[in-house]
Amino acid sequence: MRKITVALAALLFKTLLLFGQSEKPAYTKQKLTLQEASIVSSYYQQNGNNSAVTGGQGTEQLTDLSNQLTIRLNLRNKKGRSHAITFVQGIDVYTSASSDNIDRINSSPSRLDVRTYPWLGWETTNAEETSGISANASFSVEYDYNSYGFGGGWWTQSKDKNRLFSVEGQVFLDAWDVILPEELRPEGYGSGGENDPLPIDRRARNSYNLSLLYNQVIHPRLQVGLLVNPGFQQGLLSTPFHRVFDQDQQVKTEALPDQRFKVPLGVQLRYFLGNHFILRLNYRYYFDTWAVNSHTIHAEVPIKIIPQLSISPFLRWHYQSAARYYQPFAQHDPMAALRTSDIDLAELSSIYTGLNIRYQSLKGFFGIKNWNSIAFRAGFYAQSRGLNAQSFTLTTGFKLQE
Amino acid sequence: MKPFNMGFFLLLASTLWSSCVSVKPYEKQYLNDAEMELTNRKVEVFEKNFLLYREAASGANGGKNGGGCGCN
Repeated sequence: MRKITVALAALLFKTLLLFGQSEKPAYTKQKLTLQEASIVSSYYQQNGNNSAVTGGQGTEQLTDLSNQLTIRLNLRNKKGRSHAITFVQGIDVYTSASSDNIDRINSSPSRLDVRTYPWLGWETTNAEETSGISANASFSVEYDYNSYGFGGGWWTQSKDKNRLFSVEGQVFLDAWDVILPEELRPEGYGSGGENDPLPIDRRARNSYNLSLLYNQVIHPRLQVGLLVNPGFQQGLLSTPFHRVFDQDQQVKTEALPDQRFKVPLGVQLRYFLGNHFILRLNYRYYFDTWAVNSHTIHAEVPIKIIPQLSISPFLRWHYQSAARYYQPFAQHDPMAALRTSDIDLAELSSIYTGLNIRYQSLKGFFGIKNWNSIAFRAGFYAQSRGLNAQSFTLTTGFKLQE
Repeated sequence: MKPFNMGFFLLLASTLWSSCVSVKPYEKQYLNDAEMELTNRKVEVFEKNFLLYREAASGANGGKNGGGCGCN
């Protein structure tokens, strides 16, 4: 009897202890802690024969080595509100054969360039995780181009977390050195080289973006997202070292309007088919005030070999009409005030295909318990105008706290 | 913008709003799978950049819609 009494007392004590724990939620921890980190590394190379630097013909060879480190810190305050701080540091190193043709005598500074871009974001959500606000600031610097970015957003979702709506605004204030092709520099105008004391102009390019997003769970295997992402740009939107040859073979610099209004509309769909297949479908319709209209479809089918491992073949198709200012090499009317031979603004279609492999482990990799994911993605890109590109990306993720 | 496109998106949005069922948390084992996320994966971040620079259209894919040079 005594044993039963002791056992009941112990059970009661344990129950009270558990009850006490449930009364005192886990979110009393207020220390800012490292939640997760990731490293993304990518190699990209392209080749084509329609470089805008040489007026729409000539090499487009380019290689780019990119790395990005992301660190996310998190805390919950006494009221249960969550705060997250995310820091991203990126660095790109690229070599561009076309940029070397800005100046055919001296090697152009843009031939080999480094771009660094830190990004800092803050986000807070309420205790029920039904709404949140965010803010961010960023900076990007390369040899002839600087960009300051800042933005903010608000989101809300239903209590059952089946519907989400968000609004985000983003501003980029950019400034760049007006480097002109060597034969088009006025007397006394510099080359932009480090050792050239002659001055060059500096112009602004500003971008204002709004993003509206609505996500809806349709049923236990299907969810859909709708996006509207209008953007307005003003300032120097042409690239001053792009050449344009008119029908008389006269060379000029590229000239484009100082304003551009863009409207992309997107639909995203995710469907879990059976126990091993997932369908990821994205469609985008885009139009802008330069008369570009485009349709883009991206389809991806992750196959879950085992719960931790998925292999995803993907295919992306894109079509765009030409901007009204585009003409190929030596086709421009000599009287045209606005002109470009940048193939990126031509009528074209493209195919991008490849494979994504992702492995997530609860036990970690190589004895490192917090190293919880590895992903590799290889893609092959081909444009109807002849440009080909390859992209290889490796990502490693570390989960340091739930 | 063509009226058809805006009409299509409004119709889609209103259909989604009115036709869905409430999915309970315990029914979300498929929706919670990492591959079901609507946002882009981290491994796609640089791919979005080069597509932004090599094509005239941008945005509505989680990537940025402006800023940066991309002039090479």
